[in-house]
Amino acid sequence: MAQRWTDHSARRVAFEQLALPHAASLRGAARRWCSHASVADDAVQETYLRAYRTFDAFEPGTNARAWLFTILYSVCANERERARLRRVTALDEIPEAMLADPSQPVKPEDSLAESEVGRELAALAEPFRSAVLLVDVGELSYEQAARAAGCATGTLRSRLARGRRALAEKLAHLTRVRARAAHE
Amino acid sequence: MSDALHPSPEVLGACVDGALAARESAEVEAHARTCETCAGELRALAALKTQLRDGTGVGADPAFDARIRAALDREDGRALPRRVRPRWPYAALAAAAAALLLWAALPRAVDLPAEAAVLAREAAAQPSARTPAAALEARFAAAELPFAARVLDLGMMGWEIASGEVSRLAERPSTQILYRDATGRSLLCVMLEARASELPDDAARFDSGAITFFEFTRGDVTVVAWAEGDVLCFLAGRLPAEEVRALAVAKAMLPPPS
Repeated sequence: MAQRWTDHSARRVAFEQLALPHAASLRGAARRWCSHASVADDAVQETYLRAYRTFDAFEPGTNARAWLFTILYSVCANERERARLRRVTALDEIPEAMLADPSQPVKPEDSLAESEVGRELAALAEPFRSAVLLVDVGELSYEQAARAAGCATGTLRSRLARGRRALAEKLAHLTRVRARAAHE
Repeated sequence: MSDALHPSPEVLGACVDGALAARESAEVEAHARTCETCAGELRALAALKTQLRDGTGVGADPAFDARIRAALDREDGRALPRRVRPRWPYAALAAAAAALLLWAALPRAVDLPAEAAVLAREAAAQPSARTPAAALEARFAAAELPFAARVLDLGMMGWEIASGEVSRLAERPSTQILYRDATGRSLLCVMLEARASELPDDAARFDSGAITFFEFTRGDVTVVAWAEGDVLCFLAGRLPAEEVRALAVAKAMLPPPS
């Protein structure tokens, strides 16, 4: 049952307590859905605003993380579509020489490859990446993830299995390469 | 389920996710007790899930949390008046609705300096690293903005570019460049396609050369604006007004004659 808030301050406090702990995960996921860290952060901010506006409809006791990831997926999908329509060039299309300045420290927002699994996940093709993000990172159920992605549950299940397999193979390959290098 | 008939990767995944019916899940688990291949698959899938959940977020960032809170503050500012529900008679309510419709049809006056001040406060909390001006110029060029954006070089006055992005202000594309000085103070430069006539009328005006400047105070932020053709430029920061004024005067320029 959704909660009716009469005290605005209490509503705000409850929202922050419920939603803000997921900010780091949401930012991590958004950076794998969006072309640039600042666009991703904007998407997370928009996610929080949408969630806040519809907080009265959120059912206490249900999975807040899944709720936020569902909104984030929608925001990022819209952003990608808008970017495509505006033909906004992504940062990675700017000549590398303009961006790679070895004398400059790496900005935190650009150091996205903070873990091997994160890097390989970012490299995964759509729609497999979204299936993995929604279920494994966002903790959505198969049915919730399928609804968010606009596909059948069976399709989502298949995408998820293929995405995980591809990820596992890439990570296993990296482990083998590292072991070989250490041996040599 | 025998060793010869292994569950599919989808079924193994669903088992790890707890998405199987109890009977099916028990069958898979029974099979895994006698099949090392599938038991290994289940262990690997569980480990991958943990890796994905714990290894793909960014670190906790109090500055970003502050940004979200600031956005919620602005949302509250807009939402609060809508939450007032007076018990008026229907006629009064209808009149109010008509007035509201009329108001909605009027052009919306956005307090651009206030928006710039909010951005300046948010940007001050952002992490930064020196950014080459050439990279920013390339980023702005690639964004195909509807106006000619430029990157102010404030290096001679001790202000280095800390970060820059294409974002939106008052529903319009804008460039936003954050500068920092050696003591860590911050200054934000915002440019967007707009006219000086869109500025609120509470500005302290002053002229320098052929350019008119508009100075605003929004909370603890000084905002100085000027127009370069159809581009409106803002410098905003929690700095003494004379300092922001001097930087604006030093860097403002008239657009080339078209």
